[in-house]
Amino acid sequence: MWTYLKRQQAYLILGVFLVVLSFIHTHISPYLRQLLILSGINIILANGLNLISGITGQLSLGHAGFMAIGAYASAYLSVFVTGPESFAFLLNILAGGCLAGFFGFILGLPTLRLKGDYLAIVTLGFSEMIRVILLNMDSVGGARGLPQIPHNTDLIWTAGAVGLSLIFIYRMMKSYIGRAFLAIRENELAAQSCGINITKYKVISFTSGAFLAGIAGALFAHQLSYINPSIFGFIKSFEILIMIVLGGLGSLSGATLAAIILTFLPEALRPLQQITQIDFRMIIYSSLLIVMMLTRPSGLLGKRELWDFKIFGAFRRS
Amino acid sequence: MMSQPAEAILKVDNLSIAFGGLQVLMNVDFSVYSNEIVSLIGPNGAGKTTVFNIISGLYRPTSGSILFHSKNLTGMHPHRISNIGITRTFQNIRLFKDLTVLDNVIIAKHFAFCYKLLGSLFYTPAYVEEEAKAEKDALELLAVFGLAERAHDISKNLPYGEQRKLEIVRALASGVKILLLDEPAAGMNNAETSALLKLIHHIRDTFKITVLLIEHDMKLVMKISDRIIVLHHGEVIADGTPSQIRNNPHVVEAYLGNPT
Repeated sequence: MWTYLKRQQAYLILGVFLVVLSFIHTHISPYLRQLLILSGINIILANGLNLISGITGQLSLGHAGFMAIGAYASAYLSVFVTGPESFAFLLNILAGGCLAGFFGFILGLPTLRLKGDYLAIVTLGFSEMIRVILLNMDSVGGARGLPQIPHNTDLIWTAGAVGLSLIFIYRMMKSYIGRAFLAIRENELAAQSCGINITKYKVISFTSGAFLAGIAGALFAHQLSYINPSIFGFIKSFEILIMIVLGGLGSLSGATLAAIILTFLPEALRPLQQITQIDFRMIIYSSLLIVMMLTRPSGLLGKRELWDFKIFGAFRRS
Repeated sequence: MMSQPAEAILKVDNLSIAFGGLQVLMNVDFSVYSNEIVSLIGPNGAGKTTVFNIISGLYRPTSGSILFHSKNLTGMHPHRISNIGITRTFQNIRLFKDLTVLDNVIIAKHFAFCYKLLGSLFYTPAYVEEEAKAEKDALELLAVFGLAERAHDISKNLPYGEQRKLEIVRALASGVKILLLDEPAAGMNNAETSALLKLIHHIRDTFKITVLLIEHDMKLVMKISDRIIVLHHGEVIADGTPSQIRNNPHVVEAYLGNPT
């Protein structure tokens, strides 16, 4: 439990963090800033999917679909309804998240009775369906995409969203709701015999994950200023899935770490491409994943968290 | 059947179930009375586990019903049945393997939590209080069964006997009134089995619960049971005290075949 002193420390860390953030926001190159924002968005996406697949154990391959819903809904509101004011932006992000969450709820209610492969196929189909519908919706630009979205997303907004999402998931995991998710992942029959309504908690997990994907999508749209349906193909879903598999299914800090690594890795490998004139990046990227799966099949951190390791034991709360 | 003073706490009423053309249970009819230890025995494939699966809500019977305090449980969801007070263990242990022993028990206290999601997000007093109480109760319960010092171990690392015990502790934590044990002595040696015998008696007496168990170990069954129900080819062929069952010609025939 938090002592008074520890709470003080937490506020202090938060304050220092905000000061540092506003400093680097103005002093770093736009390139690095964009990378930081993208890794923030990826952190939210990865943790949302981790909630569904890593913690509750329901394999979902349609995360990009929820991201697309959030991105398009918020972008549409920003472009055609509200304009670029900050307050309107906040509401639009939330609207995007809520709509994605709503779709998650609607999709989850009938399909979460399915297990394993079947759920994966349904979610994959759902995200493709969303993509095709957007492709044919002329009001949001169809295949031409939706341009001139106000460039609202900056480092502060992203950091705020990342912080709140992580706190949301972390606190949820410390409650009976989070324990119900884990119980469902571990053994559905035993969870039922412990009095857990497994359908209800699967839907809660799925809706929360979809909501977070919607938030991330909204931030993403207002960062790029232009979105089109092909961004949200199943490749995007797999990218997010790779992040949580690499980080360790079920590990909050693992998903976060992997999201950052996998955002920076392709960029870090870019000089190699310039020297050799061949695009080695994807080859290295995929070999890295293969080596990873051979040596640490349960991901970087497995089911543990960063603070469960001995080196970081100093930070552990008693 | 012997005359019983009290009303049945659990009544299995004319239960039948068929999977396709396979009639697994046929008009199974028995009652369990409060604070009893009742064994369900029978040769392999007699339908014992199927009875458990129907009582705990995993299967829906083709006909017949399950009554708990004369409340009909048929067709109820498994988690509702657990919340009412009927909890089972499994033939092949089903723990939450990658979670700690303590978490296994706290998860079973799911029903005891009243705070909402916002409570845990904002660290409300209700949240702090309920979580602390659940942890304290779980630790106390583990201490009763000598598992307290293993509370923070990952449950799959426990030895086999303690895993079985933990599954029973988990069932007790969920506020059980009728405990269904599916082959609790499977894979245990003689010493462990006699410890289990004491444990089940102890649980029944201290927690004032009713126990219905499936078991193949006849020595255990004869010692532990107040009453034995014998199932053969999906039908109840005998129901009585251990000594009545031991001398029942139908039971002998079911197990050993016709002497002639």
